[in-house]
Amino acid sequence: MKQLLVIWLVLLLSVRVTVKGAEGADTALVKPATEDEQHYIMAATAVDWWRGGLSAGVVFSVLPQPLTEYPIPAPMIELRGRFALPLNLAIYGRLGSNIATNIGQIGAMWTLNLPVVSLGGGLSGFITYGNITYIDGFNVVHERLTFYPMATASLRLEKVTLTARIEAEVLSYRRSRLGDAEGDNGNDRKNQDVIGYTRYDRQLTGGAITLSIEQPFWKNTHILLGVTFAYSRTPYQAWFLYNTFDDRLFSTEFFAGFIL
Amino acid sequence: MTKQLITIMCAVALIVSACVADLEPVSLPVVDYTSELRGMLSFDSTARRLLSGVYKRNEGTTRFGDRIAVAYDGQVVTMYTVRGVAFFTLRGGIANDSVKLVGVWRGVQGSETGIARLSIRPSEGGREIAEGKGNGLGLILRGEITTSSGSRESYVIEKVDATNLRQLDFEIIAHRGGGRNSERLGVSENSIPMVLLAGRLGATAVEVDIQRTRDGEPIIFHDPTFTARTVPSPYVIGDVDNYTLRQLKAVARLVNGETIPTLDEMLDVIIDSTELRLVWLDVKAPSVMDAILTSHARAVERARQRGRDVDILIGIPDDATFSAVRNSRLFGSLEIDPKTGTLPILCELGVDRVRDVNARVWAPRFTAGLQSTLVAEMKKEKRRCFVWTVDDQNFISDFVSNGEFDGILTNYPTLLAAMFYTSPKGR
Repeated sequence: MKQLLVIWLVLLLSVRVTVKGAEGADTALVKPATEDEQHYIMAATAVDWWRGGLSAGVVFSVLPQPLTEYPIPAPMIELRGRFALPLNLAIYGRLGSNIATNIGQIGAMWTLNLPVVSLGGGLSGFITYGNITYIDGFNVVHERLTFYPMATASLRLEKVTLTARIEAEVLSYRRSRLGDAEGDNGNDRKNQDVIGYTRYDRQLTGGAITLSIEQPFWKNTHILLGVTFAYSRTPYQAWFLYNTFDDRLFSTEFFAGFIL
Repeated sequence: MTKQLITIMCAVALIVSACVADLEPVSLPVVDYTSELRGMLSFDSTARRLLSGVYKRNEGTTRFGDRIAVAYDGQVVTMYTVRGVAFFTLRGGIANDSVKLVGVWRGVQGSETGIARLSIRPSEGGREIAEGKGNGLGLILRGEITTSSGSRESYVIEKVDATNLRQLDFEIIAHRGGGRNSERLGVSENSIPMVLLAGRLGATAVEVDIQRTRDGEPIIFHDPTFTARTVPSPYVIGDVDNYTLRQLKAVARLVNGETIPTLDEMLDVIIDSTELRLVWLDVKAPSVMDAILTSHARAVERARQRGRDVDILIGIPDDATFSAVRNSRLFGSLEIDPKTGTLPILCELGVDRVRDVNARVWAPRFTAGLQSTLVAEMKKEKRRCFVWTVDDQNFISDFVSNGEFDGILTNYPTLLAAMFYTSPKGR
């Protein structure tokens, strides 16, 4: 941990010195973010303080086939955002919902601009809240907290930024409950009929690689397009399928949005 | 440049997502039973009963947890563990007051597998088994297991409960004849080999699905359409009821090479070649209800002739099937059980419908919870209550410990058997 802190401080210092010394010179070791890059969300590019972007879009997941047996699409609408803080830090987050599955993610990352690429690393917490009590016969509620340490690298092309992000998935907490609602089947259920469990796990359950493109679209609007390849024991969109496989399962998530 | 990048990225995404299909198949290790057990006497029913019971781990590997259930299926001694969700199929024999067991084990929720070689010394229960005396309490099985990585681990377990697990009045109902294709058991879901395996997986009962052919034959198949998940053939695609039975028998092969059985073939095998106590016919083709009831009557008669006590239940999962059963000209020919006064019907609908059709079993979905009041009402009316389909260990634990159901349908009969038999309720 101490080593990581030292490395971070050295990098931070070198960046500040280089920026100060460069003053716009083409030979600078770092390249400040362009006006387009100031809006980007997935990119590791460090942007000006308090700048950032918010995208509204859709996610289209393909759930793991061994769990679903049939190709079941799981669409979701989502907001993604990132805002820069001092010292090359940024907060990033995500909100999404398809009614059955609701997610909220918030994290912090540190970024570093180089002439052609930018690099970043961070940690986020991811809350899943699933509820399908509105479907007759599926009286189920589920909550989950997962942490994602990640590293990001972006390729900074003239107008486009191409980003690759690698994440580990650390499951921390799960809670599932059945039979919460009263009156199902005309029965006034008693409290002891509710069953469920709470687990504090802290286990490495998988990981993901995300590839994304961000670029100008029209006037001040930019677009975000990406795909996540997840390899996980606990794919969040499949919470209601109660994964019982010991094996990690592959799932794909396409996402697209307009950066406002 | 931008357009090319987007195109390349989309192409990569599609290729990768298309390439990743199902889980890798699992192959069980091969054991040469003839040479392993040469010169040994086979177990008789007394020896199998003495071996059966609940064991605790004394020494060695912890991969199977601290409690192990040991039962038998025909000539095969079986073991079930909660931790690792493993089942063992062991063959054995007796020589010089010692017992030897050898076979394979498999963790059904993953791909772990290996060989088990266990024995009982004369002073640790071997003599008792050879002489057919006692209840087997305190006997010690010791030996080693191999793992998928090739390592060898010692294993010593001791019998601490002498309950004959197979006699308990609780149904461990295996889904799709024993398990889904995704469990990679080496046999296909809803196939004849799968129901032959079901008892070794821990099942006392099976649920099988009924679809229909174009010529009105009830067949055992889950999906309404053929896909690579069930029948990996480019020539057998589309709706199941587009094919005649003859066509299916000629060209359709399940993922492990079996043919699709008819309802008659499946019931004959269950009656003649298994020790299963109950069959749940999950009707997904109510339009051939008359043919299903005809097969049912034939199977009931066959079981009676062979002295087999097997309860074959017509499943009612929805309103269409409910109407088909009630309106069938053969409904009146269903036999009332003299002990309970009920018909051989399992109804998944509300309790009013259960009473309306005088079903022997009420089977609600597990997501409705324990439903203690309704379960008590049904039992008061001499009906049994099953719950479906429970695979999560946490929920199985709740249903076993706190529920009053008479059986649970699961894709993991191994897990349910281990959890039920080693629970206080299982004794």
